[in-house]
Amino acid sequence: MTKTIPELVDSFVGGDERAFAELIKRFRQKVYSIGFQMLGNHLDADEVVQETFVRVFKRRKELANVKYFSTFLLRIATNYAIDLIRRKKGHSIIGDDSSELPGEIQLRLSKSVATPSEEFANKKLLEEIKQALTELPPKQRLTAILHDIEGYSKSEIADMFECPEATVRSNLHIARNKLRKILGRRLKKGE
Amino acid sequence: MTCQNTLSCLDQLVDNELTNEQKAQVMKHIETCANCKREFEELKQIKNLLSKAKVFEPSEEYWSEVTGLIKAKTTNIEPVDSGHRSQSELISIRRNALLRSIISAAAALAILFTALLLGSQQKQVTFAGTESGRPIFATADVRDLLSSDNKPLFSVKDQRHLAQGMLLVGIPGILGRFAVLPELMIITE
Repeated sequence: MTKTIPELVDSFVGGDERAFAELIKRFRQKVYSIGFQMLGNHLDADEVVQETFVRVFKRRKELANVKYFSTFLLRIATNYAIDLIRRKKGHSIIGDDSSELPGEIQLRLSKSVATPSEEFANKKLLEEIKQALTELPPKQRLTAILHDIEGYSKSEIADMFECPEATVRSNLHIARNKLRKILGRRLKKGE
Repeated sequence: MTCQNTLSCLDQLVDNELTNEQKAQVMKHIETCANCKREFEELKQIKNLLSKAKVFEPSEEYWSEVTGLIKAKTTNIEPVDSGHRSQSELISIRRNALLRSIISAAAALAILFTALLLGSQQKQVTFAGTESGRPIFATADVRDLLSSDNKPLFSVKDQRHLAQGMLLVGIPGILGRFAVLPELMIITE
């Protein structure tokens, strides 16, 4: 019988390694997706995934007082992604997954990770959105990603950021308005 | 409904967070106002564009590799209590930090005064120069550098060497030596 998330968390806190592996399996894509949307490339998304789960493991004692595991996990992931963006400030964080990587890693990725063109019918659109998102400050970018791309509610995002829901609404409003300006040409085409 | 009211509701409208009644009122205004209609259409398109930007899912091969790396990184790691300290712990931490700052400042002042005291009591000066073409570096009593009428025995060139020699001597002696330097410098060639 499949265990629920609270059951898995209890087992994990009790030291069950299999429960930790199962939690990784259930949440890895969410963390990867946020990392990829925030940083725009596979290598950084990979770092976000690994570091997030290592931090969750180290802080597992805190889980006894946590209501929702997903909020706890995604808070760690988003904070780490924001830190990474700040550390990389001044360096380009936009890059095609494979074109900037050394040969060996390119080969490994080509076997294990689908390229954006395989996943998106309109790669140009993806690039425009990625570029537009990176022009936003980290908190606004993250709010737009979590709400409009990943589908989290405003109250869930407020829990992740530990801020009032009004702040999330405000960040989202500003982010959308900026994106409207950045993507203005495409909007005029009516696409 | 005014344009201002409508524009303030557009986010909620595209997020489907308005009641049917509110939605009807906003839509009624949008149908009659070209500006608000354009704003609404653009906002809807933005949301639509973003919803298409889903990230691809890496393969199972990648995930098994990553899971292995995470396991390796978490082997033999003990959980830590980061954050969520009690109020008394926080007060204790702040009090200890304040105490450490006060002790550090007091220690720094004590060292400074000791250096000044020791330096001002120095009677020795260091002389650097040449003797028969060979570099010398010597220390002498201040009184030995003055003649019977308290005039310095050394030329300006010698004094330059003397000053250079002093600079070679570290704190605290250097502070005291600088204190006697001006007197030695009052001479002409």
